[in-house]
Amino acid sequence: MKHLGFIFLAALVAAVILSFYAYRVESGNIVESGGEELKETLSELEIALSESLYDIKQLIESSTQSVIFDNENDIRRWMQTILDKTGASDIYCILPDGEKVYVYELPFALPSIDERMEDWYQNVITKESGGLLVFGWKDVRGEYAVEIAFAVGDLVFRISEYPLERFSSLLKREGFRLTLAAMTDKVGRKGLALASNVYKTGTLLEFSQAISLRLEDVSFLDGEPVLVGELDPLWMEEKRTQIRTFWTNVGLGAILVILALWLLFFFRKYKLVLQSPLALSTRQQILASIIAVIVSLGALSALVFILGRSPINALREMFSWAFLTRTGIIETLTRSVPVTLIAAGLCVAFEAGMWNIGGEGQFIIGAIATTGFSVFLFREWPAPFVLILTFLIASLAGALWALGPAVMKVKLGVSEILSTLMLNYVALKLLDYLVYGPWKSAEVKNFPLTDPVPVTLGKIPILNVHWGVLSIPIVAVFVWFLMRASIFGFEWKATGLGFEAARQAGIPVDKSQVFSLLLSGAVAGLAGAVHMFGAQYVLQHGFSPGYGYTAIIVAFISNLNPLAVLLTGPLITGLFVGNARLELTMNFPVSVSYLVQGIILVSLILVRNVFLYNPRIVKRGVN
Amino acid sequence: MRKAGLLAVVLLAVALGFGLKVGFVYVGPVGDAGWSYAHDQGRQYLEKVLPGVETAYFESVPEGVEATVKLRQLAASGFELIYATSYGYMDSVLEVAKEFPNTIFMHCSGFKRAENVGTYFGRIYQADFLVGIVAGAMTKSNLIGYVAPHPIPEVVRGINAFTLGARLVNPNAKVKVVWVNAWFDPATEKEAALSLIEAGCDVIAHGQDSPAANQAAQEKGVWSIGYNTDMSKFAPESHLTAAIWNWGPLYVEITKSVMDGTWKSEDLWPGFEKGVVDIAPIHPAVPKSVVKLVETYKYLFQKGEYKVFKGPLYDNEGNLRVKEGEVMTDHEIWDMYWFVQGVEGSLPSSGE
Repeated sequence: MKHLGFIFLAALVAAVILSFYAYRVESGNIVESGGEELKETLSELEIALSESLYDIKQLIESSTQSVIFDNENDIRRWMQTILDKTGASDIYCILPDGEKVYVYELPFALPSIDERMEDWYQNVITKESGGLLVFGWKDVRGEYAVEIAFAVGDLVFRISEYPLERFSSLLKREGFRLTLAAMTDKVGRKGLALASNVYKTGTLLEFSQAISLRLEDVSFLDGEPVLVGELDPLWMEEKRTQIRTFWTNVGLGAILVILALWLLFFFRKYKLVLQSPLALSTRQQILASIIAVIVSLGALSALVFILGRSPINALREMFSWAFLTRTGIIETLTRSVPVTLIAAGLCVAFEAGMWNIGGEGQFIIGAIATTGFSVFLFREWPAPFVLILTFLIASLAGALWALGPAVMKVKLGVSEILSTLMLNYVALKLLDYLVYGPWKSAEVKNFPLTDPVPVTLGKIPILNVHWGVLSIPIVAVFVWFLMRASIFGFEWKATGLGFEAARQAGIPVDKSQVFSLLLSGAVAGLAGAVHMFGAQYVLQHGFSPGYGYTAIIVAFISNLNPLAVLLTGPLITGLFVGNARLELTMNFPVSVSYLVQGIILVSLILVRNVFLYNPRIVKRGVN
Repeated sequence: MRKAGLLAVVLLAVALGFGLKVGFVYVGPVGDAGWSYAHDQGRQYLEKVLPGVETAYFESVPEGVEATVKLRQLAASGFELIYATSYGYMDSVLEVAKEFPNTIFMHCSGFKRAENVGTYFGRIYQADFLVGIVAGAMTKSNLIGYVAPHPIPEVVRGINAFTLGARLVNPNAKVKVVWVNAWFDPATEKEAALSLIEAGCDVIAHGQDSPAANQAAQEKGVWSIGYNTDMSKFAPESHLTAAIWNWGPLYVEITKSVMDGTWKSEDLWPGFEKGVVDIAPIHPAVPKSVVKLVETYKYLFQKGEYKVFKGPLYDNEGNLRVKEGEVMTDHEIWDMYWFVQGVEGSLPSSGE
């Protein structure tokens, strides 16, 4: 145990140091030395470009004097000679009417989307750049390539994937101007902007490896070379971050390998001893939840770090958005209503040892019942009646959806995990059937939407979140009361802790299990109603992105305590809201959010088991 | 000269700093090779063509409350023009638009508008008609399979146009429809395609966001037709052609109108004439005469001289729906919820 603790601590310290380091890099403390490599790269590219440009300029001049284009075949033949002379891999010509001529007759009648997207090319070349446009870049493998377009009269030619090596032996000429600068835009993305003084526009490139140069005109013989020496430090810094991230990744990898090898040798001498499980103390349970959240945040930070960004910036962005901005709070609270309600209900079922995975399905059924009754039956009734009645009916519907699995569990021993999970899909299909079929609104032009519910909950002034938020504390306290201060609560607890023992003691275990599952279903159904009246209004395909599944995580993190759910529900939802924020500000893929959800649950289970079995390391052969 | 260059850069920085912020919300992942991918291509094109424009996006946003909060987040984060690219975002767009009257929203494939909400879509059914011609010409069994996402007018319209195209060159062709009930569900799409192939279909078309149906067709050695984007690289031997989106020019047009203040809330429904829809390169195995025919119709669409839905049109129960000499109005086409003759499949009955 001592050793494990030490390793854990060391890793933690290393991670903290690394993330601070990355933070420093991203904040721009290191500027000076990182630029050297970039400068070299740029001047290399610049030299190569000047060579190739001169070459092409010559080529164009010599060729145009002798060529008169009568028809497409003439152009094609001429392009062939250009191809032969330059070794370019592709060339085509854009005619004044936008048609394109290729050297090789393509088997297809139509050019691909990419090519058609480049009308601006033609425009820029003929009108703005005075005839020549060059893009150069260094790809991921570090190879240079350029793309050159030029105009001869009304015709625009384009050579692509031009390997620079072809020019390297040619004359070195100065004499073209280009400007280039690094900058940060409002969202905080860094990139390289390119411009020339003829050209009033530039482009900001996302990917930092790209070096794109635009030339201002074709008068090669005067002017001076570029701004390379006066690059904005921002660009250097970006480059620096890249390099550092790469090396720190290598470092991290090496540490992991050494750690693994060390462990291997370690366990040849020592072995792991597990203790027979005891119940966790409340303190341990709370600790486990906290560690799980920290571990998942740590995993997220590691991911952010590997993607080359600062974890501290990411975490700050996440939490300040989800909990400190008005729109973020609205988002967090609105989304946390269904999650927290369902989680409060799940506490009961889990406490009684009924693993209800069907919160999602029961939630959807609640929503369906809400629309069914409020839209089709209670439409004309006064609003308070509609609300109260529908809340009751939706709860009943959720409970009914849980009834089957509950009865099958106690009568036939069918695993409620499977049956509740499968019923989720049934609920989804039922939803689809209704919105595409009989319940489709007549007013939405055959779109699969139902009519909206006739009454809505309204918004809390200033906060702008619907009143349904208030249902969270009410339900949570109610459930807590049932669990802690009623005979049911005692029975659930006893059943959950030891089914056989409880039965021996005369507790009606079957009834108590059925009731616990029904209650959790009812609460999920109620959540469906609140969500419909408060925010969703109409039924539509896939309106729930898995609130019922997120609720499972929330219930576990809360250690099955409905009052804790009050806090953890919005907290965990806020975490996911913050994750999604990173999509917008840091261009993260949406899958990062799913990943973090998974990591929380897995690490929670892991930490609890560590506490439960209290693994100790002892020397082999001692006992 | 150097100073002039610097000045240009400074100007550029200013232009970028005060450029229009444009947000996109996609229903699928941007890597789906289909619907959301095509929109994202349009976004990238927009960024490339209008350098002052700054874009960002949310992907895989479920329809409903999730979309509402994401749209609100974009609006609150200073995005001035927001494209919501799925029909199910309709009510969410209107709800958020009411809260942010100074933000302009463009909703794709919807029909509800407000002072700051416009709608747009493309006449992809024109492209469906063209790929239908190819399918009709290539089928030997006269059975074409169609893997269809959701029973909604947008999809029904496409299947109908496809069928009309196929029966233009092959009056005996029949189109079998299987519903997947998802825009993006590669596993189910593949199963649906395989079941159609087993039922004797030798050309598989689809309206899905993934190339799963094309891949299934390639495995079984039958022809296939893509949708949304050129899917030939996923099934090079099987892929005959595809009805594709080309959102870029439309996005540029709309964004420009917002930038120079001429934008107004309206419904845009362009087709071939604006280049918003197109078809992918046609497989070399398709006879030259068929390609010529397709090109002719494409030309007619570009000139606005051909209407797909014109009488006489019968539904697949034999009832005359559009009389000889009549042309369906845009309104009727928009609501279309019946299959034309030659489609084998049924639509969930509506609650009307």
